[in-house]
Amino acid sequence: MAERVKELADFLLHAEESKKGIQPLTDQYPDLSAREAYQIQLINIQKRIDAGQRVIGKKIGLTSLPMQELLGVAEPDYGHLLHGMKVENGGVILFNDVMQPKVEGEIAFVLKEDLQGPNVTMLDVLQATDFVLPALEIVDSRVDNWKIKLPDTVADNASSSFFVLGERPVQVDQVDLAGVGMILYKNDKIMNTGTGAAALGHPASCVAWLANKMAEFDVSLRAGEVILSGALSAAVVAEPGDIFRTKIAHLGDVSVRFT
Amino acid sequence: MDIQRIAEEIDACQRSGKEMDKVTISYPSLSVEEAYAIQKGCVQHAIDRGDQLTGWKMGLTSRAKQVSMGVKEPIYGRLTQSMELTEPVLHLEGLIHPRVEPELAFVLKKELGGGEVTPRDVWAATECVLPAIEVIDSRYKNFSFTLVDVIADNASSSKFIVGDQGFSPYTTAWDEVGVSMMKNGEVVQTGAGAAVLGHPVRSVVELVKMLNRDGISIQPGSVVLTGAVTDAVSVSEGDRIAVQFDQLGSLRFRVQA
Repeated sequence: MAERVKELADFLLHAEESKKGIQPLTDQYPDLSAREAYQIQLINIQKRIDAGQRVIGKKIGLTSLPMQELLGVAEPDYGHLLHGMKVENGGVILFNDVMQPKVEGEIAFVLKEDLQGPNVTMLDVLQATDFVLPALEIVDSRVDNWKIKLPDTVADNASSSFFVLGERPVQVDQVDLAGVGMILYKNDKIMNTGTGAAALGHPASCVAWLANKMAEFDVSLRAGEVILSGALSAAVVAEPGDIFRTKIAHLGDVSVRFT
Repeated sequence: MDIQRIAEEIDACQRSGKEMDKVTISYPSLSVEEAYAIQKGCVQHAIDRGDQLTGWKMGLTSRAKQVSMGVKEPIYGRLTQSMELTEPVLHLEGLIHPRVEPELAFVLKKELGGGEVTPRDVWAATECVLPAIEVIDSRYKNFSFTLVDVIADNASSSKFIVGDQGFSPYTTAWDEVGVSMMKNGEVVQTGAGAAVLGHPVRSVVELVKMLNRDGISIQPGSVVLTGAVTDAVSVSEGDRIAVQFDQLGSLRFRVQA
């Protein structure tokens, strides 16, 4: 393994633990590839697992056209969800545990069957889904001022930090996941609205992309995993004291507070 | 300042699709009241030519738009029969730089007026709710204007289309309705009804209050376009626009020369 991959993994891990932001990895290594970035991500996830964390799912990022255009990419990216990243609905996130958090409303899939790419379709995803839940994702970047290019965010576990799930499971045949409306509130003010279609046209197509992408690394999605399928609107900056809530039509409400 | 002369100039540009300078370049102190008087004058010219007032539209109903214009209140405009598309085709003739935005339209069955109107008054006066698409088109160069300019220009009203199927006001949570807009098959904007003042019914409440200040009530049979659910999207010749309203079907049109 290239020396710089290990070095950059340590650099990022230190930033996360010290909560001190770093310059983009791509400033130092402009030729850093997405493949190397995923290696960095995996090294740090393995260190978390060695320290007692468990992987409970994946998140998909860069699922909207504006975000892909902003970063100059043509496909999403993904990161790992660890059990320590899960916050109870209505719970609290300490500002000491984040750096420059932003909040997004999303639809979470919980799988009942493994999904092994390649050639996984949207229908395969729906068939393998146990249920869906409304979710808030708190994204964060260990890179100062979110000055990220694709390899920076991929290496940084797709800029993930915390997530909150609703507690009422809904079967996928009960809703049109592309059509459902999403409202994102900050302190009871409407910040953003969107629909499931904001995530690559349909949240299940994002999960299909993930299953097929992971096949490149010879990994499959596992029954029981939680998949955050992608933001349904632009992310909103959080500050101490803010209460965020998302309401997703037919799925329910989720909230979280920052202190 | 000659309100009638300004109204004539704007009316001419609305008819011909010719761009003009902002009114506030010549009249920097134009007031909101004067701007609405100009708007009324413009539409009166259309009515004098045989057009008919068929309803109202609300603008600046999203927090983002109010912040960007530095205002705390929405604005209204007048809709006439000739603005309504009866076929799913938008012709570009007479338009300058059209943009489209998805909306929810209320159709009234009773007169609505007064300064103390509540959402329940609106529901009691509402016959049905319809999916709609509004085509806005500022007559000002570069789609750039101040609050009073856009009021004088009939709140950028241009064309609109509503769905064939009306829906009961009572079986849908209108703030949660997801609205996905596609241009040429690609998702370009998404939003939910709550983007309109928290709930589209609030837009009708605000409209009634604003009209009451001007001594006007909304007549039975009128249509009210409550405001954009998403940002507006530019269209040009050959574009196909489709808007999907969650559980309420879709509305589409194509753009031709």
